[in-house]
Amino acid sequence: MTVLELRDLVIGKLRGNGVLSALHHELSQFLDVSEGLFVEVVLTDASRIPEALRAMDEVIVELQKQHVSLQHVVRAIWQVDSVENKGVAYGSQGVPKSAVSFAVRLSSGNRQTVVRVDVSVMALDGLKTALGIGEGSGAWESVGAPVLNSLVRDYVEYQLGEGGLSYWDPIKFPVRDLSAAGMSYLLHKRRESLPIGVGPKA
Amino acid sequence: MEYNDLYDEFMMQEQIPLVEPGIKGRLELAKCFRALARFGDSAGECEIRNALSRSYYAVFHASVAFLMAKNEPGSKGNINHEQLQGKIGVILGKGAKSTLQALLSDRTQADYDWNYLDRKFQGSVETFRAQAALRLEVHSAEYEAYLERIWKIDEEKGQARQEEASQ
Repeated sequence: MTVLELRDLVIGKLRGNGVLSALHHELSQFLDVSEGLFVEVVLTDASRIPEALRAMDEVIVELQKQHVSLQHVVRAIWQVDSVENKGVAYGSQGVPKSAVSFAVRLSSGNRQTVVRVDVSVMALDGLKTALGIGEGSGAWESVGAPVLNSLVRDYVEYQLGEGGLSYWDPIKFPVRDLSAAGMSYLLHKRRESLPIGVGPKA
Repeated sequence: MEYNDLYDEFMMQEQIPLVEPGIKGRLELAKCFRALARFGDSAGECEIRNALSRSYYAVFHASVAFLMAKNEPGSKGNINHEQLQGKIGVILGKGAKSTLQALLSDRTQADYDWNYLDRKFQGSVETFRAQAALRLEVHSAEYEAYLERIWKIDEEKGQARQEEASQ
């Protein structure tokens, strides 16, 4: 089966399941790689994922008849609506973590969800060093806290930006940890726009 | 601070995937090419072309190292540009694949398009230099993103080992 035939088959099944209007044509892809065929269906509305999964089940049944194997991903585009600091983070057993927790509201078409980002104390220390803000400094509330909020947003947007097999499903995996290494990367990316910043570990 | 300095700190930690000689070798080569991917304010056409070409190869080797860190089949042998784009498309999506294609296009023009300066910039090295500087920023961001992804895989493997050890 060629990639074009595969594309036609998938599009037909998406249309048949009434979900073609939610397809993000630019980000969806149909590939023939050394491991076989690969389809990534990207939707503009996460509430339509069940229909798209049904369509892909039908595609797989058809391909099995032709002894063709297929890897596939069905995912949606999400946007960050808000970021809110919720204070001390707690682990799954209710034990406090050495981290600060953020609630991040996301939306994708008619679907909304909230994910939690736990920023480790070491990541916070990295930020304070980069901003030149010491312990107990009054500059934290006015400068550090808004920067931290925007970095958490950057982090979630960066995670949501990964596609293919690396995509993040925020409904299935609603908790993320922002480590010191992740913070270093975000600070490096934002080095030109930090309010006091001199860049990470400078 | 150059991202290569962060990279050096990372390498010094000698964490899990990097002890594999293949990954480390790829990253060393990526770093070495990245260091050559720059030019000064008075750079001539050849220097600019060379920086663009080396810059692409820094991203090429960093992205192959990423695939190796993910234990992707076929990533440890020779891999050509098209195979790499296909694998990155599967693992990271169309955006990352398209970016690699655009970076390869920069490199192809830099290495092969002998008339590029005249045709595209009416012979103006200054304009070429300014345009190339912008492109190098895109290359640099992509290079850094691959290092960050490898870093993350490394962290996850480290956490998994810790959990295993504590059980």
